[in-house]
Amino acid sequence: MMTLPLFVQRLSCFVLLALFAIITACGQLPKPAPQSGNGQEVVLLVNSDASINRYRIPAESFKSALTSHAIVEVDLGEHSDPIEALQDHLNTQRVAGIHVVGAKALGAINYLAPNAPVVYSGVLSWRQLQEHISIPVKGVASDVAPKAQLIWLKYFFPELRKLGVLYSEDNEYMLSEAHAAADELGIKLYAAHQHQAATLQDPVQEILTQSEALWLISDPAVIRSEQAAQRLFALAEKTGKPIFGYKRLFVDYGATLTIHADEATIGRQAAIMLSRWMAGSHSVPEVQYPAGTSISLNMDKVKSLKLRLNADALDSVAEIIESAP
Amino acid sequence: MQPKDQQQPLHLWLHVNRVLLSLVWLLLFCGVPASALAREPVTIYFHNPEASLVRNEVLKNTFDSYLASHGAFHFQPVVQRAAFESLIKQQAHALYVMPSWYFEQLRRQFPGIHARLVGQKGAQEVYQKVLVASHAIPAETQTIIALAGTEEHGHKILKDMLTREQLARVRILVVPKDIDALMSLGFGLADAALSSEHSLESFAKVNTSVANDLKVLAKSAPIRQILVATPDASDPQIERATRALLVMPQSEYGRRSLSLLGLDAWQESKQLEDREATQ
Repeated sequence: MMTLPLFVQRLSCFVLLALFAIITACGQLPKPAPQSGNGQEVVLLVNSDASINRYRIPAESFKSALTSHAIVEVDLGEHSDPIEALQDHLNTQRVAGIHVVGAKALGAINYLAPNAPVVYSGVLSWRQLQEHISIPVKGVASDVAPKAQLIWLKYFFPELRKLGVLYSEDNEYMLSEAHAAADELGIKLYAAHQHQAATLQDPVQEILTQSEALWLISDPAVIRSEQAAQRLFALAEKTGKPIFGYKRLFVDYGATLTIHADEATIGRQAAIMLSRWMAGSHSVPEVQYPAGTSISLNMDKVKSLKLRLNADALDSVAEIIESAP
Repeated sequence: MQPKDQQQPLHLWLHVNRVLLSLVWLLLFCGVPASALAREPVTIYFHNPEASLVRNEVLKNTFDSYLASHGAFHFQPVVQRAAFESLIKQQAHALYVMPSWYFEQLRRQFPGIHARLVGQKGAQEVYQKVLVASHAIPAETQTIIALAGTEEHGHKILKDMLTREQLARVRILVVPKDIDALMSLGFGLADAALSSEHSLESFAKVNTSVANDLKVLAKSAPIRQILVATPDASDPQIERATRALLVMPQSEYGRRSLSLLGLDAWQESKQLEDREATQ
């Protein structure tokens, strides 16, 4: 027969084992204290794929701008199991802050939920982040603020008075901001709602007749395919109206001017945001628009459409597209 | 020992060689290489630590389109400062475009280099940088100042505009252009912006509501515009390249190239020095 102390001893052993099993199953087992080689805190830079310029450029400028900490870079493009690679770093380093570049990197960090400030950049669907991300993050948006785009358009083409724009439900809030900004700049905005099911042609033709130019905003419902883009540019060509876009790619379709974010500046902004957050600042915003722009100007279009261009604005262009004289 | 009929061509070849060598020496003494040199293309090298590197391609393409109709002249932006300085050291037969403050530094290093042309904007050879914000710069909290160019050069200008305590808490956000710096301020991405006075005026013309809230907190001392210099002022081909730059405002491509540098025209440096001497 078992004595009482032996029974108590066995029972406590059983309770401890059961507790350990429960904690392990819940994934709540306290992680070992993160250690780096020399025990110093590091900043983790997680890149979705460093071989892609859109991710590589902001990551490079981030590294140059953040000098307060040693930076440990993880390129998820090089790992077959990115989660495991990241988990290893989080377990072995003392991570003071994390900068994720691209949606894949953000998704991986969100899954691991580290206890450190996370700043993102290079995420195209930054407006829909709240639906997918469960950890507190801050970041730099991928597209230039609508008001900033309108200021640039007015700066390049001072005579611009009537501007057409197509938008879907997703951009209704952004459109109200754009209307207020356009009013301030003396531009009347002709906005046409693009229903998901409707063909592109119906609202575009109406908008092109009413306005002097068409302004493209980042909205997947407006340009759903390459064919849709080609149709849109063909219609504008037919009516002799310029198109202003938000991506360099649109110049190849025939856009007169494109205004897109300068990727190097995005990296520098992310470095400042993360530094301030790590230092405990409470004034770091949830999301910042890009502070730098890169502008491409199609001089052939300016000439063929007889647009009056502010010559002073040329000192702001990054690229001029023009046929050989 | 070689047979006699095989030695003959060798002797003849050596003789021809000697005659050719003598001719080369004669031509050298007659100054022919100078005129041959004059036909060599002239490269106009450009280096500006204040300008965004992404604009180098557009500068090269536009300048080359203009220069092609004026002679064997080429425009070449140089990214690295060390490479630019090494070119000055090794290549006298060239023109060098750079900011005036940089030229003043180089003049100590290369005493033979001379300024030939100074840029003009609105008939002015000088401009001022302005520090703009909606509030005074605090000494106690960190201030983000947006500016175009390099952090190092920005700090140099800010040193004369801010107190030591203020400067110690400044964090610089480098952006591609002056107007980006002003917009960063307008959108709350920075606490202050450093830009040229001209850019502030242009920005204010377009966006009066934002500009009305901005105050000029400090102005830099007048800075001379970008300039063109050469280590070899006596070369006639360099003279021709300098003339080609001087007449830029007379053609569309010339005006466009100047606009890319933020200029309207070039002024001869000597005229400027004479004018300053009489004032």
